[in-house]
Amino acid sequence: MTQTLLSINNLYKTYQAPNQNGAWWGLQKSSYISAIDGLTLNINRGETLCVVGESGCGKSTLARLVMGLEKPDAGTISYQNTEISSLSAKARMSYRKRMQMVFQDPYTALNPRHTVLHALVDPLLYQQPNLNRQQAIDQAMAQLLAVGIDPVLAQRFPHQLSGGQRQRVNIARALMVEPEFIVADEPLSALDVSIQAQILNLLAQLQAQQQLTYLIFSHNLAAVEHMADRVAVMYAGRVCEIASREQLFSRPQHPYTQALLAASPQIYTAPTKHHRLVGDVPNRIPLSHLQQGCSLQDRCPQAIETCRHQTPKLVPLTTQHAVACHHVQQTSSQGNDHEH
Amino acid sequence: MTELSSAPVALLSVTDLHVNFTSRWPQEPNIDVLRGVSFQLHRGERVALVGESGAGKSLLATSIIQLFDTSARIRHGSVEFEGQDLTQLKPKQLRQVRGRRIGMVFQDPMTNLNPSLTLEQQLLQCILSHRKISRAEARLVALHKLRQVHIPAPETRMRQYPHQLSAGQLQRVTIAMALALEPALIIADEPTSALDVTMQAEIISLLTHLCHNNGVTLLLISHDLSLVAHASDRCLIMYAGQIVEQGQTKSLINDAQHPYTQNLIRALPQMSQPGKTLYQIPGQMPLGHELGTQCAFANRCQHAFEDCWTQQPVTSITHDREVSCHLLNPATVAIQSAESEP
Repeated sequence: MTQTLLSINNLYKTYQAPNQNGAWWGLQKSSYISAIDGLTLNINRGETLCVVGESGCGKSTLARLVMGLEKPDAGTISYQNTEISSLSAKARMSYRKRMQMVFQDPYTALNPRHTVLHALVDPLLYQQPNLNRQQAIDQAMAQLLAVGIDPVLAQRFPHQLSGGQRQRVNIARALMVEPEFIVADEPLSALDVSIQAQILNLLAQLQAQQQLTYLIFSHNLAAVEHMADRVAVMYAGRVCEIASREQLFSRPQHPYTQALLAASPQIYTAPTKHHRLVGDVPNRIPLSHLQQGCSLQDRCPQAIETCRHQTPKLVPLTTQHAVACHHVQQTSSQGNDHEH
Repeated sequence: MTELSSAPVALLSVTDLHVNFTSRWPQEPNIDVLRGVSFQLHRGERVALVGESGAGKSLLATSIIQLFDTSARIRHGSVEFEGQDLTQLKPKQLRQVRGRRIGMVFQDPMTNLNPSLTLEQQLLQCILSHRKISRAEARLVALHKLRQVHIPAPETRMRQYPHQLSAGQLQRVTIAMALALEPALIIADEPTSALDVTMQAEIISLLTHLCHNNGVTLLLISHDLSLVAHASDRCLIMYAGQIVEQGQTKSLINDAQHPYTQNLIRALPQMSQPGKTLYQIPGQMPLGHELGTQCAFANRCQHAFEDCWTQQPVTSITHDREVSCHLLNPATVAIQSAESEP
């Protein structure tokens, strides 16, 4: 029986944008960018949910909201049926122990003036102040072994480690307080292909050992296909398609997902020219209301009239597959009509 | 023309290039990063240079036009480009080659452009410092190049600052800037590693097409074999400061000879069943000064035998492939087949 660990419900987050017209004296109304725009997502215990999307689609904002590094404007984030997004810093402490984050860039995520041991012991002593220092060091050493780092390196500083080793230290630091839920924001993007394989294997091994739940943000589709149980595709602050890994990679429905898959480099098959998107992720400025309807409409080759004025909702196609696209929903309902 | 094509003269030929970093501290060893690199680029070719970080890819790229750190030094070897040895040139002569004949596209477009100048200022500065044309003419050249790289509304974009453009568009601008002086060679050092998948596909296809259409030779540096698989004609695989295998990209990927190339392909997530343990290359790349006379890959190679630990492999050349591995040494092949036969 799958049990929902974290559920995100109708989440909104808006940032104030610097004024494009250069009116720094504040006479003009400033514009707002909605980074997360009504996002709903559930994460089951023990699964790996990968969120993919281009930069600017709100991936990192979502990671920060889930971890409580930002407050949402509206909507809720519940952890095991307890709402955590509105908790005070003190009440949130016990959840910080259960949820930990692995940051994107292993070079900047570690304090350059702290040794590896210092980086690992710090979060542990913060969460468990009663712990004896020697016990903390013992635990840190055990954790280093678990992520495959020679304990000899414990006294080294980050600049003395390679990129792969630094990412391992980052993962070890997240695991120090024995969390059950790990959020990883692009854990592979700063690493080489051969190191990526090592980190992917490590994440899989740790998940099997410690029954971890992963929420992984990535734009590396090859890696996502390898590790995900379910995949959510994000575009312009919303989930546009969510499906099990097999469904998503074998039968992508949303035009955006198809374009992402087509753009992912394959070693033996030549890239296809269909499904190619043009342009960038739109700046989502709700105050101007320049854009009604589907946020992909300008880039989508299959846009129909409905897409221009109505925002598509996430509608399940099967039990494991949901899509937010008028075109797909229309064709699938037509297909059902024929069957009857 | 027919004479040229029958006996193609290499545009760039790097011969036995050794580059090392000298340490500030006398007790620390000098680190040899490039250890005898030899390759040739022909006119109009698209060549990929692939390897892990630390293999010396970027240093090789910067060594060609000597844009490297002051602690780096070319110890030995020559870089011949359009008939002149770049290692022998004076700084002033070298500046005539940089940008003008050899363009660079760097990794991160955000840090590559000056944030306090508009794109127009930067493009014009680049063009006017090499060509004796009027400002208005230079502006037309810049606009033309921006259109070539598909920048929408280039006239307005020219007046903007780098922070007002997205990363993908900035990388287009740097490509336009590299092309603006009509160089013979463009070196693109991981041009897409700061970009998204969709943008990555677009930039790579733009770069390869523009180079192809303008007859520019492209040296594309990447760590991802799957990215260059369809964007290059020839491929050089680099490991620990040496080129261990080179050949036509298609045949190299379908039939990799060097164990390192084979492992590099095997380690791609696409190559294994989803959810299964990925193949990972054991160990780490050694630093140049830690190596004696052994093969640099010996400590990570599953096929390593005695010879690998005692002597450097020689490069064996077949019709389309150059591989530095003892396994392909004719003498070794003869011994091994003799051993396996009885």
